[in-house]
Amino acid sequence: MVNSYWDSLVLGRILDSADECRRSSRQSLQRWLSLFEEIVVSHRGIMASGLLQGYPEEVGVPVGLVRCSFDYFTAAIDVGLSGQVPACFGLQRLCIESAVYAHSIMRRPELGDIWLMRNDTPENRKSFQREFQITDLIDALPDSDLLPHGDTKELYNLTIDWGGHPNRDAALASAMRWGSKERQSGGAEFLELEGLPLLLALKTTALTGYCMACLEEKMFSVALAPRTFPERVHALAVSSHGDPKTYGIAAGPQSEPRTR
Amino acid sequence: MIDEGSRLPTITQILDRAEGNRHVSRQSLSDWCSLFQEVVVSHDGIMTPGVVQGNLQNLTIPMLLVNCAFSYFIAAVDTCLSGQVSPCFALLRLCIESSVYAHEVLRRPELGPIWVMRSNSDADLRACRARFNITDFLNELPEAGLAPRAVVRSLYDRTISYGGHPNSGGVLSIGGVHETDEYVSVGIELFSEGLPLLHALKATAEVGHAMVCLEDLMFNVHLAPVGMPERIVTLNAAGLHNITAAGNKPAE
Repeated sequence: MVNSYWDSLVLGRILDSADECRRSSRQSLQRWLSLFEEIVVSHRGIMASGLLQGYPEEVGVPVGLVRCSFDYFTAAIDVGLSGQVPACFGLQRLCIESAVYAHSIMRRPELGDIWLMRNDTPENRKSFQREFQITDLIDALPDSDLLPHGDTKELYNLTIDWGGHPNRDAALASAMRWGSKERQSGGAEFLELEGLPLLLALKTTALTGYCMACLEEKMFSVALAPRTFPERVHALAVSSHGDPKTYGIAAGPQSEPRTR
Repeated sequence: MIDEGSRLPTITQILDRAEGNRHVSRQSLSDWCSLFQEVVVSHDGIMTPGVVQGNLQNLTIPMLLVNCAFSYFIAAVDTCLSGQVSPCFALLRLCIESSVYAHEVLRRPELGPIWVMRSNSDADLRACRARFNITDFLNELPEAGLAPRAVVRSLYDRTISYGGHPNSGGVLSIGGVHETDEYVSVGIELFSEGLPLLHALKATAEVGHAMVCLEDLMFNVHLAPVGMPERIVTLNAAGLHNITAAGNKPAE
């Protein structure tokens, strides 16, 4: 590892590199972008004025959370296309959590008040922490053909492993670039323009978006989540890399145990 | 019940807008960018090979985690400059967690193997969950000095409230519920400016400063920028003044 005055880190150059990666990815990853666009169209359709079903007073909090979930989803795409892999997984984690919270509050409206009043008193906070255990909430998701709850859990755990929490895989994904050769100038070592971690990030971003759209569909009874989406994601991942079992690329529907 | 969903742009438009915002912010928020650059320079100095103090064998995992914290910090700056406020807070949360984990693993090297083996078996996963508790680790930070536990904890709680977790603070800070006799609409902005953006800029600088202070403590390389918290306060006050002058009311 070399570090001279000339290749010291400069924020401007790192941000320039990230922008450059984004521009390049938007050209080279157009098939992935079309999948992401499908999620955006689906979300837009489900949330369209006049289509949402439910009592206004019960739908307010879930709609707020769903919009937040979408916010995290688009940020995950933006960050993922720049090659910032652990950060992309971190945002996917929040996307799933927000969508699952929204679904749970829609199913049990009494949770809405607990969510809103979380910061009011220490008792409220305890009550919030008791009721809003993400693992319990994911376990309580109904099984459906579109989205078996096992898939949501597997996807969530994958996001946690790879950057949704400071775990080994996330740290190693950064270190693979960092330790691969002499320290590069411009901060390019933080950005993954190709390779398995990026492919995994793209695949899970698409599946996270799908999970969000399926939960929205269930919540608001507007059947616009894209059909056959997981199969197409899987096909694209396989076509992008010869061995889909590596690095959990096969995770999600039709998955097999992860191997490295 | 209506929602703003039907007015949502396409993914291309969203990405274009993010890129445009970043471009403009790097010009218009150059004061904030110079503070972020200070954090980058400080981190780079502390992590210079040959300067870090300690038994290299025990440093591998803390180094990995510090590197991870830095990549979250960079991503937080990137999203903040594009105006994506909630995602910025989510990344700041991860930045603090990674730094605090690194600090604790350096202090108690026996935690390293537990962290490394987390995914090996269910028992390892349980062991990791039992030992790696961020609240406990925050309590282990020194009471005073460069990174006092109260300051880091308060920063961490703020990141959780405003986007590090799907809480009401985060949702309400970037949107609102508008109710009339006929309908209720929920509007959430994908891109923020004004007070929410200023809040995110301030938090990003503070988290970056906390990160390099923890690195300074961990590796015994005293390059954390001195006087930065005061400069953040000054810059924030100037930002608030500008927003107020432009017609927005400052937050209470």
